Parts: sequence; structure tokens; C-alpha cells
Amino acid sequence: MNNHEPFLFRFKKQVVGPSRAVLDEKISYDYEKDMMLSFEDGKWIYAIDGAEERKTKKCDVEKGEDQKDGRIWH
Amino acid sequence: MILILSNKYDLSVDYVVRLLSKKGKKFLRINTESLLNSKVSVSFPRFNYKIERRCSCFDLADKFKSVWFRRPGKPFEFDDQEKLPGPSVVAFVENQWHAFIEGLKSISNLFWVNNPDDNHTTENKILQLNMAQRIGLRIPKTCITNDKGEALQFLKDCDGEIVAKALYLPLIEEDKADYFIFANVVDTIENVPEHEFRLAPTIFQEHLRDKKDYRLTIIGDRCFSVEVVRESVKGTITDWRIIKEGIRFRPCELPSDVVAKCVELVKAFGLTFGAIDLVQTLDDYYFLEINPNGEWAWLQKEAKLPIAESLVNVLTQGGLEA
Repeated sequence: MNNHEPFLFRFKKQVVGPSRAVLDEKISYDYEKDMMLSFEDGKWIYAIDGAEERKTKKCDVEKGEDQKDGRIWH
Repeated sequence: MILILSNKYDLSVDYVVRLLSKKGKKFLRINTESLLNSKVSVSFPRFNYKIERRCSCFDLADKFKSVWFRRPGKPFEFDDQEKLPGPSVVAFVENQWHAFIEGLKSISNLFWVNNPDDNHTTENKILQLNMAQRIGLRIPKTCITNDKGEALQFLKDCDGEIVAKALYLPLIEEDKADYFIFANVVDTIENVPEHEFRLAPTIFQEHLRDKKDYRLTIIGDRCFSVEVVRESVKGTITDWRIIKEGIRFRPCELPSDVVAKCVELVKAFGLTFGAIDLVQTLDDYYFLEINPNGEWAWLQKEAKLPIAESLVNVLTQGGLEA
């Protein structure tokens, strides 16, 4: 906290923001299907069907948190 | 034909893509971070909006009736950050592609889910609260101010406990870490220096106690409601988004008048899609906020809500469901 921070900065909690998110290397984009695939139990399946909870670039506050992308672009 | 604008890591899109493929509907998914690898052109006087992708050429000004504006990726977004051109080049390239995508708004008769201009307008929380109140949704007593005196008086008026949250984008990106400002309960601000308030307006709202949280995902006239259930969390949680474990989303029915007003709110902003947070106290339902491009795939998967199906319907119809 310094003398030049707004009041709400007192409540800031550390998260992994979209620009710092590590991309999931276990999934791979299939350009024919236009979907992400993941390799599980020896075979490629749709990532959305996988057992693991996939994180998107919005990373660790994914559920319900919608404003990390701000104005999407600008 | 349907145009989908997003990024390749947007798994929400995958639910819709799979359904469109199953139904044999024609679509074009453009992961906009990859546009640099495509050839594009816009020409006049005969208006063309062409994109050549993997040996196929598409004229976006022709035969496309719907656009799903999800989460377009930026150029270089997923590239090796150490191999990028300089920041000025990155910014310049981003701006040019942004204008190219924005130009899609000039194509007539396209049905947007949602139009980015409407998304942008809706993201303003003051507009949200004002519109919700005009429609008849109850909202918490609210004071948005940078004046410590006003905040102190509001705290007193609310029996010594209020919620403080950001008026806009609550993400703070610093050199070494990122931070987020969730909603916080505040019971004393006497000792906070006045200049901290002056720096930026803050939303202060009455603290709604003993509440239930709901997320409504609205697509046209359809509403998918879930109650946020805290299975292993004791006490009242001010902001359920903070909780990582022990939280479930249970499909539920809300009073028809509340749902109707939420549907009206989405339409009032010119949106087809909107995600609304409501809370229920002992006496009423309160509107908290709407996100015009809210996430929903976690509800599709966990609560088995057919949100993707509903999106596919509006996109293939090129308008709202009858």
C-alpha cells in the first residue's frame, strides 16, 4: 500500500491474470474440427469432454468471473 | 452461415461448434489471434469482406446471417512472448486488426450475439443500476462516490456495514503479479486517508445479509437460472466468486416476474445474451449486475443447462427464438 493507491486497493487479492496465464499444453487445437482436443487415457478426445477441468486464458478465477477481459479488446 | 469470432482457447465456443457440426450447420470460426496467417481484403464500390483461410475464401458480406462475438484474440496473444516484435509494432498491428474486425459492423442484416457496442455500453455499472431500477428490479441502496464524507454518511445510513466494489474493471496488472478486487464488506473507514477516496469513485452498497445468490443466463426470451449453493462454506459469503471449492450450481426456477424483468433488461441494452447476478434476501430479489459476455460453459457442464443449444438456435435462426 502506498500513498497513491485508491481505497479499493486495500482489498486486492492476488490472482493469475489473463496475460500471465500459462497456456494448457495438454490440449491441442484441431483445425479440421475447430475444437480443442486433449490426450487422455491414450487417446485424443474433445477437451470439453475431458476429466480434467480445463482452464481458459482467464485462468484461476474462471467460474463466474467475467470481467477479467474488460472490454475484450481495448 | 454463422460467423464465430473468438480465440482458440475459448472452450465455451467448442460446445457450440460441436452442436453446429452435429446439426450440419455451416459456420466459420475465426480465432482472431490467427488472422495474421490469413489473407483478408475489403473492397469498394462492390462491398466485399473477404477472408482466405486454409485455401477457402469467405466473403463475410455475403451469405452470413449471424455473428457470435465471443472473445476475439489479439494478434501475437499466444505467441512466444520472447519472439514478439517491439511493443509499438504489437500495438500498431493490434489496432489495425481491431479496426478490421470492428468494420464488420458495416455489414447489413447481420444478427449479432452481441453487438460489441452494446456490450461496451452494458459494462457500465451506473447504466446497469439505472436501467434495472427503471425496469422495476430492486437494487441495493447505492452510493458511488470519491468523497469520504459521502461514504461515511452512507455507512451510517446502512447501519454501519456496506459493501465496496469497483466501478469498472477490477483487475490490477502489475509488473510481478496481478490482483483482483472482489466485493468487500466494510464497517469502518474513519481512519482511511481522504486522498484514497479521491483517487477514484467507488461503488458502495448496502450489505445484503442472509442472502442466496443466483446467476441467470439469458438468451433472448430464455432464462437459465442457477442457485449458487455453498456446500462446505459456513456463514455469509459476500462474493461467491472468491470460493474455489465447496460451491455448486443448482438449476432453479425463479419467480416469473423477476425473470421477465431480467429478460427485459437484456433487451433494453440491445443484447441477445446476458449473464445476470441476483441475490435473494428475506424480503426480495435484488439485481447486482449484468455481464453482457459472461461465462457459461461451467454451467453447461456442471448444471447440465442447455445454454449451447439455445445459442445455436438463435445463431442458426439469425434472430431470437419464437
